[in-house]
Amino acid sequence: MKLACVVQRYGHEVVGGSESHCRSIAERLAAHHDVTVLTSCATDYLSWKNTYAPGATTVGPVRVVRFPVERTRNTHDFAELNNIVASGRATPEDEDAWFRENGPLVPGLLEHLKAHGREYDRVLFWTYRYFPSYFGVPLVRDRAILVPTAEADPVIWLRSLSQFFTLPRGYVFLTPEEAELVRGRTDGALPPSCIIGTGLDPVEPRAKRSDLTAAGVRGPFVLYLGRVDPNKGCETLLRYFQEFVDREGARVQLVLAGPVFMPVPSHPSILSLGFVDEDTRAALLDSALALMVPSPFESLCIALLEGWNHGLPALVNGRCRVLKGQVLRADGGLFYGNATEFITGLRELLDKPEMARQIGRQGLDYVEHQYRWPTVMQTLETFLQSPALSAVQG
Amino acid sequence: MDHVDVSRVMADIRMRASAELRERAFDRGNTPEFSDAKVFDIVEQMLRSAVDDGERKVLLLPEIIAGDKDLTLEPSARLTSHRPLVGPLIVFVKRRLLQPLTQWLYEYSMDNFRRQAQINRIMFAALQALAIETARLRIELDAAKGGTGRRGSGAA
Repeated sequence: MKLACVVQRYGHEVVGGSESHCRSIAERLAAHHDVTVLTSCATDYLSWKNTYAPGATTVGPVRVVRFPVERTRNTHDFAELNNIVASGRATPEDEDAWFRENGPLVPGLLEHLKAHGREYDRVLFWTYRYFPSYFGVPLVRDRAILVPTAEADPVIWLRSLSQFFTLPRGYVFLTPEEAELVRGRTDGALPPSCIIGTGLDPVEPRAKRSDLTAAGVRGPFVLYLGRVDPNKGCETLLRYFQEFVDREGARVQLVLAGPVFMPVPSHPSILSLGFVDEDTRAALLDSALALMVPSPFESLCIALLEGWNHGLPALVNGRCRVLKGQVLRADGGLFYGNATEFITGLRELLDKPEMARQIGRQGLDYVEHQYRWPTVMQTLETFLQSPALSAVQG
Repeated sequence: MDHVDVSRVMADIRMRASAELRERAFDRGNTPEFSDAKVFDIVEQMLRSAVDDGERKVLLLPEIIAGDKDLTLEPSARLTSHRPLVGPLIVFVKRRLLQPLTQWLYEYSMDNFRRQAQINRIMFAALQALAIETARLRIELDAAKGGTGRRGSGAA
């Protein structure tokens, strides 16, 4: 098949959940199909400043066509529009303006879809919230496959989406909860879909392990992986963890591994390492007692899957339906809805180490069955070739 | 070790956490009604579902008051000027000069506006859950009264 993958940014230097997901999938699809990635010239998702040269190039096994961003994001206007969206009072004009300002503004990409969209058998779009997907899907709706990466955040409630979500020919979801969320926001029946999640390679034993004591890690610890950011639930995690230490004593250290975007309290039981390299990350995952996942919004939590890939039990924010669903399906962790449940859950994991290890092993089993690349790609291939998607096209 | 059923572990954790919360609310929270564990369970369940589902429901109260400016948070400052000629200049000054100077206050307020909006949704959801419960009870009561009446007349 001739496939196009549309995504807001693409390249080895680009870090981001949906972008990495797109790259992993595009590279694997390229083994059996003619794959072209259509994207912007930007690497920075805040400014959308053009970094790459426009035009066709090759990244790994994939042909990539980059289109210049017409103008960078006006951060002030965007902040204003975000506030309007968060208030739930956006007019249709506000919504249209939000999708334009969210960017990246790549009119050339839309022109390409208008002129050449019918040359592709399927056009896969990553993330509904960006300009290329929101304005691109309607142009090739008879062959558009949307990978929405939808979360239960205020944007999902924009009124125009209930119509927009009826447009794609098919959907690729990351979790059943995401599918349910989009189904609930769609006027009428949801187009055909599959749920793939993402793929992970088995953990390979490392010859040399990073020395965690040099980094300040001492004794038993629980781990938070990812951006240290209030939007990721870290404020709540830090508050609950301090309450845990107040009640239970310094039984365990909380280690935060990821770039820091908020003040981290100076506390003898809290250690913030900032960004860590791959070796340190692997050593942390190998040595931690449990993984903390406090995020309120997720379409799929890759950090959670990574933790399970290392056999780590998890303690997750149960108010995030995706996290709670993942944990229950895997029997791979506990969840909490408030401070008391957090404290009780963490105490349970520390007091019953054999049970905690078993829960971690169950998480690993779940990854083995659901999230290895051959399984993921088989599900996607079957879906892309399914008669339900082919019926409408000529 | 045998397979661990997380649902069962969580049911136990939730039970212990609830018991702890009830103890605090009853003993130190001066809510004697919570001496009855059944009452506490029903109240807790109702409030929990308001918190969990509030974000995902179309709530009646916000729909009913929609459009009433006095009852609506207006977090965004849409900068405008009513002056016909110098208006654009005034907006430019407000945007480029005054707004950057007060950015810290703006961001602080926005953060609190967002939290307030979330609390409001939870409150609306809790009120809706209570209203539904009241309506159901009223229907059941009316049916019971009607039933008693019919039984009464039948007996006569």
